[in-house]
Formats: sequence, structure tokens, C-alpha cells
Amino acid sequence: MKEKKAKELSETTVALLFLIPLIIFLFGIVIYPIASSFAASFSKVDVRTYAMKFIGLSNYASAFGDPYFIHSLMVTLRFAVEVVILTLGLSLGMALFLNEVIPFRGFFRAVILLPYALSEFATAYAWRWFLGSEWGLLNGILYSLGLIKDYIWFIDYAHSVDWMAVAYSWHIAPLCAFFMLAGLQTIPEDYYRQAKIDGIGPIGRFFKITFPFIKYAILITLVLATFFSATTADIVILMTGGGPGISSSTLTYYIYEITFKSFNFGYGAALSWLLIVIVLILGVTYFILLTKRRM
Amino acid sequence: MGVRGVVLGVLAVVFVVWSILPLYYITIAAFMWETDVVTRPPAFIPRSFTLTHLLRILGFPAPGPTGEMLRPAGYPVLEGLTNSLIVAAAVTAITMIAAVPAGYVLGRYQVPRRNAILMLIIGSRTLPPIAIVIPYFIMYKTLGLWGTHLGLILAHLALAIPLITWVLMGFFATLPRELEKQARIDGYSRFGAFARIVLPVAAPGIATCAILAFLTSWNEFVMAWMLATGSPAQTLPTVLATMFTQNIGLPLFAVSNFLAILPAILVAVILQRHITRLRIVDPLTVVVS
Repeated sequence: MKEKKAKELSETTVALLFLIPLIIFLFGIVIYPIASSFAASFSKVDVRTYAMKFIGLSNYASAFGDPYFIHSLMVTLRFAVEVVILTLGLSLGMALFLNEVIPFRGFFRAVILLPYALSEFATAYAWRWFLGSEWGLLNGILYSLGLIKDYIWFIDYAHSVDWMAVAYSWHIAPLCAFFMLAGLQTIPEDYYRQAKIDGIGPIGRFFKITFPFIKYAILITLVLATFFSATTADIVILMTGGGPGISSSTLTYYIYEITFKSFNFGYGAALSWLLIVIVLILGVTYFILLTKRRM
Repeated sequence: MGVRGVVLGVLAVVFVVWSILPLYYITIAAFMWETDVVTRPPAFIPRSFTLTHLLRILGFPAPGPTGEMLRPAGYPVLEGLTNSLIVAAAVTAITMIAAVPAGYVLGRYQVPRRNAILMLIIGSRTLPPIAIVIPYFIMYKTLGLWGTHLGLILAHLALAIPLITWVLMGFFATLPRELEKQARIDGYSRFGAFARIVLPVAAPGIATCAILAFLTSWNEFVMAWMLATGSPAQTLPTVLATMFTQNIGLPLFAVSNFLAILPAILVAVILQRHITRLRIVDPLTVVVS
């Protein structure tokens, strides 16, 4: 009897029933909080009572007159560009390597995936330790090889962003490598055989055969790497703390500082909405890329 | 061998060194005496082995280098571990309850307003944690949810549910269309076809997604840092980050770092098998519109 009744439910009804928990959660724990942060961005939020007083656009207005905000945008941009370049190179190399027929494939896959399985938290501390100026391993290696006379302070004012980009690319490149690997594995073996018969060299083969199959994965890597580097806060807080000075203070770190160190919640909310706008543009781009592919 | 063999061999060494080197020294330093760690140049091969640091960080007394007993390190690492487990387990269970049915119908059914729902999921997925944590902080301070397990679970769900729904949708879409057709011929209802036929076939993919959901919570730092630091509900990353701001000495620092990377090593081994076979993190397989 019960079974019969269930049969009469239309596809649409079942679909809606199955979507109910998701919709409730999305509204309760994502939409509502983010809407209340939108309200906070137009308000002055009391540090003790958290009562909001409407002050119009002045939080947004002060952002554009704030040199630290502009600085943090430039740091984020530099960080993102470096992460994109490094991630692209690394993941392409990893994917081409993993696509070859090699012994111990499972082992290499696990080892190459390892940095991505690590949290950003662990990534930050692993690299802090690795680059340490007191007992760091990189210093130790360079010293033992006689390349440096004394230990170097790697994470200095000029290079803190660069090292953060290296650490972050180390973390996310394996993910992008697996996207590219999925593309590589769809290439028919005959294509390469035919190209060899036609006398096309390895570089020609890469651009004529391999590239068209991973073009899409490369595009996704570009968007994802930009998106990840624009939104990460963990790596900055834990690896450099925005420093030395404000040299590696990205927008996310600046939001963290304004909100949870200066307790200026209204201004922090406004800055975070500016970040959301940037990120939504990237998200929509991502969505359009996904849709386009099917056309 | 030939040129190809040499190139591949070099690449193999480069990638293995690149992936492991930053972790290597933490791992060996965690089990050496301090005098062997603080040397220039460092010990590239372990010079001593001791479990003292590990025991002390976990809250037990342990013998020092000369045999005298050292007190426990005195940081709430075990509590942090327990809290992380509680929060991550709850997040995993609730995420799967919301994401499995939703991912299933989004991946296989004609759903009204599908694109609007997809945009909602992608939109939620793209929100930076640092942006979500601000309203959560204000809400929790006023509602009394600050520093509670429930508070952390809800906050982590905001990250896990959109991600896992998205991945599962892609995964369900790759299963053969004939599954439901055959089930319907065999007399199953739509719900029966889902529960008795599709779910068992999808079990390995769902299990992998459960691991991803668990990790999303287990690895999360910035929300836990703002919503629970110093409270009885603080998770392991929060405890470790607090320790690192104090001067705890190199071996203890190394061993707690080692604790932070340990789960990832297990996960990498488990996930690498599924990640390409199930195309589990490949959003490219998602059929959009």
C-alpha cells in the first residue's frame, strides 16, 4: 500500500522533497548570515552589545580612501598572479608525468596528492618550518652545499608574498593536476602514433594534440587558482601574519585584522562584501565556462 | 631506458622531493632530542629516536634525555582532538543527509528552477570563509552560541554542504541512466529505486564524499579560530595555533605539527585511488543545463 502511494509521486514532487533539506540549510546557514553581514556593512556595530546603527554608505566610502585597503588589494593581486603561474606550471608537469605508463603509479599519485590532502593550516606551518631562519631545512641544505655563508631570512619584507605563493601553489597544484590528468586520459593513443608517423616532434605533438584536450582544464585551473588565492585567509594568518610589517597583508588578512583585532565589525563587513563581489565575478565566470563547454 | 626513461626518472625524483621535503624535517624533528634538532647544518638523517615529545604533548609525563621525568606539556591537545572529532563527525553526518538526496536529484532528475538552485550552490561555495565568519561571530555572541560545538558545527556546514552537494551531483550524473529504468521495470517506486538500487551502486563515491566532508571540518581553521578559541569547544587547529604563539620549544612545536599533518597522509593514500576512478573532484563531469 505504502509502496503504491510512493509510485504516484511525480518526478518533480520527488525532486522537491529531496531538495528540502538542502534549501533549508542554505537559507539558514548561508543566506541569512550573509544577508545580516550585508546589513552590518551599512552600520556601526557596537563592540559590547553588537547593536547596529545605520550609517549609510560611509563604511564603503572610507574603504576607497583607505591606503591600507588599496595596499591589501595590490598584495592580493600579486599573490594571485604568482599562485596562478606557479600552479599552472606545476600541475601541468605533474599531470603529464602521472599520465605516463610508469611503475609504482599508485605510490606517485599518493605522494603528489599529499600536499593537497594537507590542510592550509598544516601547509602554513610546514613551510614556516622549512623556510625557518634559525633551524630551517632549506637554509640547512643551502649551507651544507656551500651556497650560503650564513642562514638567510627568507620571509623578509620584499619576498614574504612570493614565499606564501610558493607554499600555496605547493598546496593547490595537485588538485589542478588531477583535473588536467582527467583531460589527458581522454586522448586517444592513435593520435600520438599518427603524429609520430607524420614526423611531428614532441613539442609539436604537445601543442597539436595534448593542448586541445586540456585547454579546458587549464582554463579551470586559472579560475580556481585565482579564486582560491583571493579567498584564503588561513595561509596568511598562520604563515606570515601579514608581515613583516604589512608586506603580505592580503585583503582577507586585512579584513581579519579590521574585524577581529580592531573590532570594527561594520567596516570589516563592508570590506568582506567588496571581497564577495570580486569573488562572485570569478564564480560567475566559472559557471559560464562550465556551461559553455556543453554547447 | 632511453631519453624518455631518464626524463621520467628525473621528474619522479623532483616531484617526490618537492612534495615531501617540506614535511620531512618536521617529521624527523618530532622524534629527536632537542640537541639533535638545533644544529647547523641540521641532521638530514635522524640522529636519535624518542617518543617523549609525543607523550608530553598528549598530556603524559615522559622521561627526558638524561632519564629524569618531564611533566606533560600542559596544552589541551587531547581536548582539541576530541572536539575536532565531535564537530567533524556531526558535520559529516548532517552534510550527507542534506547533500546525498539533493545531489541525486540535481544530477539525474528534471528539476524545476535547476539553474537557480545551481547558482545558489555555487554562490554559497564561493563565499570566502573570512566573509561568512563575521556575521557568525556577531550572531553567536548575541545568541550564546560562541564557543559551543553546535555553533562550530553549523558554521562548518556552511562550507561543507555546498561543496559536497556539488561534487555528488557530478558523481550521480556519471552513473548509467539504465539504473532507474531497470528498477522501475522491476516495480520499484522512485524512492525505492533511489534507496535500493542507486544508493548501493553509489556507495563508494558517497563514502569518498563523506571523507571530503569530514576533512572540510577537520582542516578548517579561520572559523574555529574566531568562533571558539580558548573555549571548551576549541578544535585541534585552534589549540595548536594558540600553542605556536607561545614559546613552546622546537621539539614540542615539531611534534604538534606532526600531529596536524598525520591525518592527511592517511587520506592521501585512501583518496588517490578514488579520485580519478570516480572522478570525484572533477566538476567538469557535471552536466550543466
